[in-house]
Amino acid sequence: MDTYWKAIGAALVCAVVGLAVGKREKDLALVLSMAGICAVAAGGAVYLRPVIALVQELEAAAALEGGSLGVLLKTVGIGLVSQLAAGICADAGSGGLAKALQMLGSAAILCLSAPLAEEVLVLIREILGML
Amino acid sequence: MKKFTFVIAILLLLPLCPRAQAMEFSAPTVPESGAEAMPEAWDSLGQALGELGQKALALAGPDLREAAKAGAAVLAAVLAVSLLNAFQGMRKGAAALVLTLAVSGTLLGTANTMVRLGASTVEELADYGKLLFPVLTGALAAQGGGTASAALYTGTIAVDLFLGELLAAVLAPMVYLFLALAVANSAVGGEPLKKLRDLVKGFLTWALKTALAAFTTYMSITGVVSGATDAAALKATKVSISAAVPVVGGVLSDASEAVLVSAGVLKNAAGVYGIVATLAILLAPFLRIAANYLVLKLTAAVCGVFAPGSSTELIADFSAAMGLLLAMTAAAALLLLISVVCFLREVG
Repeated sequence: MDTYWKAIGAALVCAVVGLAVGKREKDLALVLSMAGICAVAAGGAVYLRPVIALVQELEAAAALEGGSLGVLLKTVGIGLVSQLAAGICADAGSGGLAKALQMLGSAAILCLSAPLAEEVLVLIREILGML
Repeated sequence: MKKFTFVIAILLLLPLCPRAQAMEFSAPTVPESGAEAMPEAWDSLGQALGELGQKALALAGPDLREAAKAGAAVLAAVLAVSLLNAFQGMRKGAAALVLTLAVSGTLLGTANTMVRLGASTVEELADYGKLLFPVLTGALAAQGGGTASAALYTGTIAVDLFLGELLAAVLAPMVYLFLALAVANSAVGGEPLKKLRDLVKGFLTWALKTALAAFTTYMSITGVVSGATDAAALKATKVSISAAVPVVGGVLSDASEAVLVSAGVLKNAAGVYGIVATLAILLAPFLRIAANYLVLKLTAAVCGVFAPGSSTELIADFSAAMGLLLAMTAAAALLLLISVVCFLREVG
């Protein structure tokens, strides 16, 4: 749990220091905020490793073909990164940019899911053909 | 109509023919699908049921393994996307859509196979009934029960045909409609879709229960099924059927009394073979659908812990669809069993 406490410590330090210097140096406060977000995200990635390993183990047990789980993991990655980037933009006072990043994330997720939708469509056509 | 009158006339005249009285009536051979589960050598109904039980245990292993693979795939998908559940707004909607597509893509294929399996099992049971009933009618007529056999044959075959068609041609395709609404509800959400899905499920459940209740009431009115049996055996059978079959387990357990009451007096070889063959046809598909039902129930419960919401609801809906299929196949088999037992009460 070391990483967990370190990430929390880094986030708190960044927040307090950012608050202290933010009144005079807004740019520095933003950089500090970004550094804190990166530290916490790196901590989170450490904890995600066993989860991803478990997902891969389940994929092997299910003998899945077609890489649909790969698509899902990419989706998760895009979702997390775009959410963090949107958060930073919002902190910097660019609300519009944050919204645009969220939209970009959603669009990328939907684009990635197109092959999955196609697979489902093929199944539905197959079922309709038999009815 | 002319053919029907001719058959009735032949049945009425059959007892008058001296050769018919000495005739051996043998049940039609079990179809290919049930041949694997059919006991090889047996002297009594109890022995045959014991061997069927052993074969059921052997068949259940591979079915459970296959179902567990689908469960693992769904669990992996839900686990991967559950990370995005913490976010609000558009991305959460997009993640829900992707998850719905992944779960649907994994389970729709299995569900399609199971619906086809269920429908074909119901059809096979109905087809076997069409071959078996004339044999039993002939046996009954040869023993002097010409009028009774004609009446019984007419009533049973009409009700059996109607219910068989209802199950295979109407209710089984409606499971697809239920699944389509469940997928749409999970992807888009909204109260109207949810209500429509519940309406279709409610209709399916109601239709199954009503069909079974109508059939058992018809059989009670004819008075063919009556008598007494061991109370402990009856209770054990009712409890096990009620627990094993979802949706219509309660109705089936009540109807099982009719089968059990008459099981003790079965002596006719064709009838006993018919009963064992019916169970053999049912065994493999029932176990396969049951394995999927159980694994999906378990998967929905596990997913509910870390990803409650539309994805878990969708998995539960797929499990409910398997439950409906189980109910349909079990109902079709029990209808056939009760019909056979009705004949055997008369034949002995």
